[in-house]
Amino acid sequence: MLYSVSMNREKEKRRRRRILYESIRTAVTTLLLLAVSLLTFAWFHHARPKQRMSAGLVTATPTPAAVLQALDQDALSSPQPPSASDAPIITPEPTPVYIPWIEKFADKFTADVVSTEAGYSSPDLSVQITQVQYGKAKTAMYYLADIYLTDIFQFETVLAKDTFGRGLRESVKEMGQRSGALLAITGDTYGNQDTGIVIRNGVVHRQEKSEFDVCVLYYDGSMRTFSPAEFSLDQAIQDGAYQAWTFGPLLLDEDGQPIPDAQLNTSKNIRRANPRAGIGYYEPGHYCFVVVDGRTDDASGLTLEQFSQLFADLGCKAAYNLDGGRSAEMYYNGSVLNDPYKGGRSVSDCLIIRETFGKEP
Amino acid sequence: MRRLLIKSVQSVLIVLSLMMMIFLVLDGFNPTMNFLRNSITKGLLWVFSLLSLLNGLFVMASIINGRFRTGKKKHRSNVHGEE
Repeated sequence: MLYSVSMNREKEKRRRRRILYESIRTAVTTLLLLAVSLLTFAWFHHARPKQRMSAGLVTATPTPAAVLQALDQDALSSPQPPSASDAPIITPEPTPVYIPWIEKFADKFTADVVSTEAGYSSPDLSVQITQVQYGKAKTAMYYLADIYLTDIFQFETVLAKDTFGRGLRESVKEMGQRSGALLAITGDTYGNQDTGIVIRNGVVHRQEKSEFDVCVLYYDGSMRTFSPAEFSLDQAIQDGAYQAWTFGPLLLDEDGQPIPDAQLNTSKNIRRANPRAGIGYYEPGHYCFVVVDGRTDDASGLTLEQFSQLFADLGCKAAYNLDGGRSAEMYYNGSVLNDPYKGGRSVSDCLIIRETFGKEP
Repeated sequence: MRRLLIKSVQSVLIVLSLMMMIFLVLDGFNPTMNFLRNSITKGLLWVFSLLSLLNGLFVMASIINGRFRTGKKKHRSNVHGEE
């Protein structure tokens, strides 16, 4: 009897051990399968380099004369003041006059090339770099590049490997050096998505809209930001879109006012404090790039609402958030200015400012 | 063979459901990476749905089968005069 009880216990123990062994084996197999599946997904989703078919549409390239003509037409179509007989005399609004940027920003340029750590100026380009402490800690920094151009073609976008595609990546520094840029920051990392408007240097590469806001820089130097519902590609092409990025969200409203947190067109996690990269627009020919360091004990980064407020404080009329986090990087004159989180990472594109003075077009 | 098929379907379903949950979490953190609205995930979702349907049918079939078996046993016990 005692022997039989002991045998039964032994059997039960063995059975339990077998069940435990089988459970562990199943769990390990499932985890391995999951890891293999995720790696395969990652390879096909974003790691595998693949050239994409570009839409290849070329947007119109208005000359300064065309811009002048457009401004004149605007002036003609504006309502005329009523005659003296039936209304009080109103001083007519001044007709907009096109002033070449080289004259408009003449005080920003120098006769000779002056290149220092704090900035660069030449007869046709000015970039001034400011390092600003935003938190209590000394390491909490953002970098502001104040940019004055004489020609919109000094502002370009560089694609990784010079190819429109997916999984093609290069660091901002590599792209900056390869393209001979003076200044470069992270772009919209268009390569992570299948949709979203992509216009680069006057060529429409992708026409499908996504749910993200769009930023358009026009040949006349103006920059506008759109919600997905407002944006029309045909209209953008007609208006002379030179660059269009899809990342966002847009950071200032039509009056240049900051946008409250709840109204920013992105997820809650993105709105939290993070390293940031963004572009601000003051007027045609005058822009700024901002990169904020973060995700460290001392420097958490900025929330999108704070980033929006920053551009409003800078006096920008429009501003747009670009790829931040570990991607946020600013390159200037051969080196990376900021301290990217975990050393940064390679991205699919970047925005550059290039010196054209004394160079063949 | 049928047992192996059911086991494989269930393993794949567990892996797919874990993948979908991971994509949902990642999408919350970084929607611009487009983990949910790409063609691969859509394809995986189709596979997930079809396998779930198949698994559901297997489960229903085994329940119905089990009921009939139980019914037979009860019937047999009645025949042998258990009342």
